[in-house]
Amino acid sequence: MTDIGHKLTITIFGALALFLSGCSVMPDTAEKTVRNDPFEDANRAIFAFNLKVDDYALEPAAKALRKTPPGVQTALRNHVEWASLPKTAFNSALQGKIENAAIATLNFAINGLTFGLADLMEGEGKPEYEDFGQTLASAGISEGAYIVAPLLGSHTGRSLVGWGVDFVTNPYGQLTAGLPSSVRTASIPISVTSLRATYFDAINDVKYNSLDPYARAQSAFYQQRDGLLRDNLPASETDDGFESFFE
Amino acid sequence: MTGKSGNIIKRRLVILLTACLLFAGGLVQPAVADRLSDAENLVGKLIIELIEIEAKGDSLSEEARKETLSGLMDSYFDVEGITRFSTGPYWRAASQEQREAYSAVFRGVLLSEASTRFQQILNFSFTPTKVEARGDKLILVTGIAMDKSGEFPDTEVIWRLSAIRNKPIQIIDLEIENISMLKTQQDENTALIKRNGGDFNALIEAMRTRFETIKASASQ
Repeated sequence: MTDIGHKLTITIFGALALFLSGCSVMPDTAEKTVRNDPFEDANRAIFAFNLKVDDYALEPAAKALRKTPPGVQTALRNHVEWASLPKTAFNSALQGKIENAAIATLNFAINGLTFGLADLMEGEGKPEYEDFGQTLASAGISEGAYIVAPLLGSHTGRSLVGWGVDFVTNPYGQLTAGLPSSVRTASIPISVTSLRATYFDAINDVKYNSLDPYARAQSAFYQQRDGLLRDNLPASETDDGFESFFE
Repeated sequence: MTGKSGNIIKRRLVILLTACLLFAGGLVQPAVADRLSDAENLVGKLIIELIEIEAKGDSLSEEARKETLSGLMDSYFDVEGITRFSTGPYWRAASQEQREAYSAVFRGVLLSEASTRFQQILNFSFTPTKVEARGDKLILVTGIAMDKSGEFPDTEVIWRLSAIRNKPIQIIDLEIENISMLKTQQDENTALIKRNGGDFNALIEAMRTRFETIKASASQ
């Protein structure tokens, strides 16, 4: 993609971010109790579709992966983590977290010797994960509505736009541009299967042991996302929604 | 009173107040520190007791195992508080009858799932890294859970404990990788009630169905 193409994409995604975020530039508090889910019916339908995909493709694939030797699973998990490092470095730099950007770059360079399959930096400093959704949050863009995207799962308007920008701008894509397209195409399902295998029990718990899998998945998503955003947003003095426990 | 003697009195008053504050601080600080270490010890003790139960293996009948877990739940966990909190703002609106029905069925679900949950905890070793008070009623014991099999990466875990004055410290929640089990249960329950037009009975019914499913799969 040309430079102009890149800039245009970022501009379009930026505009879309504002639209999906309700066109407001207001800081969030770190924790929330009421979520913005105006598309709940549509979201539930897409969630049901995603569960079917999981039933027929992801869960069986993850089950098969879990039967491979632990070393294989660890190598794949390392690779998935490694492939996200350029994104972390890029977004850390955008957020002014220079040290984190440097650590991510160093980890990417050293572990790149094994294409990320081995963690040669084990025990050394690990970078904090950063994505463009977090960059938008730190810029004061509000999170927008809850959106369940086909195949991509739970997102907020902001994190979905962030995902799109990361997908287009990830330097990893440029670095692997020389590889055969089949390798690059295969890396997406491998990453997804590896993630599904890592969180196999947790995801199955949502699928099979919930009163309402949609609500449970939404809650888990927001809590996990809030955790990632904790250093981007104003901290709360009290504990995340537990104040009412003692009322 | 002259200006000079007035100043002396003021100075003495300041010294007296400072001494009082230091004295009170001296009393309060160890009390807080004690509460924090009590909370950390409670988590450690629970894990040791679970290991002991696990070590007994098949020598413990299913019934005896359930009874032991039930006892553990009552002494280590604030079951009443967890039950109340799990329904969010709807608890207040619920009738006494509804509260009792929900408490009974929720306890059944908790107990039925406890065996699996505790087993999962035992697959990990827990190393505390930080103990902190949040306000005057809540203590967080943070640590790293390491998978004994080495299959899963290290995970940050937070135990939340209620530490109300003159009451025993008890566990109210376990948070894994930013996901709180109790908050998730609360969100799920309140979503269910909300989707049923605020009907608390819908939650009781759904929880009963869940309980029956667990019992049926356990008997298979």
